[in-house]
Amino acid sequence: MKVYKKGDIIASEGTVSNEFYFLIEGKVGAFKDDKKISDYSRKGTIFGELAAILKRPRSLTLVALEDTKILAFDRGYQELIIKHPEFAKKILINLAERVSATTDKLWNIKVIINESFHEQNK
Amino acid sequence: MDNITEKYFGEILNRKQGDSIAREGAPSQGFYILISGKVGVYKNKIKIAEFTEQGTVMGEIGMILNKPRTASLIAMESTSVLNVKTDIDELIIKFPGITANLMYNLADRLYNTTDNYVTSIKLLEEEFALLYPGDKNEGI
Repeated sequence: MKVYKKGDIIASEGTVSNEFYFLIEGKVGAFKDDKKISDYSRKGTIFGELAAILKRPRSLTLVALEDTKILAFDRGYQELIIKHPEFAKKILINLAERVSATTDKLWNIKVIINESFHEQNK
Repeated sequence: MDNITEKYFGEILNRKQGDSIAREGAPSQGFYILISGKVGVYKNKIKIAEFTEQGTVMGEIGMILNKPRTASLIAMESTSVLNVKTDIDELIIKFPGITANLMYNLADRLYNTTDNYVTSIKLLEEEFALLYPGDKNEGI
């Protein structure tokens, strides 16, 4: 378990690590260029999983917004699936929901763009 | 692909050009792996994607979320797919390797769709700024 004081940086944008985080207590903010994109305060929330799975640089900086306790799992998603299947299930469902929602949003935007181009070319 | 594969992994479906593999709105029964051929993904009769690469996983979101199919899968030529009839709990326990691939693919898709979405929003904003230059001065 890791303990952070309010204002501590948990992980920085641009760094590469395969750490998954599970929120035990407190509140975490995800920032991009000093702008808060989202925050997590629900106990058991999993965050930082995209960078961990893809092994790509983090796109957001994670900051403790109050005194915060988290668990970090750093042995890769393959091992997470075997050791903690219940967390793996949560991650899969969360990813599938987000893919589905983002695909729908993207599809709607594409329709709007096509229509407005069409409008301009009339 | 033989009987042993079918016994342990699911059912092989052979489809002619134009035949349906899965229908939008139908209950999900596991997911599909492309063995050979070409599959089109259709939503409201509009093609939104096409798969030709052997081993491509399809229909996994319906299985994970245990929801009806959000798109139809249609054979674009003579096509064989393996329908893996499983659910998320069984998949994680019995096939951790496939689960890992699914997890990676979903994360990759989320990363790319989010990127694509952000780019599209920017494009749309630029276009609006060109069409309605006055709106930038909103509030002045």
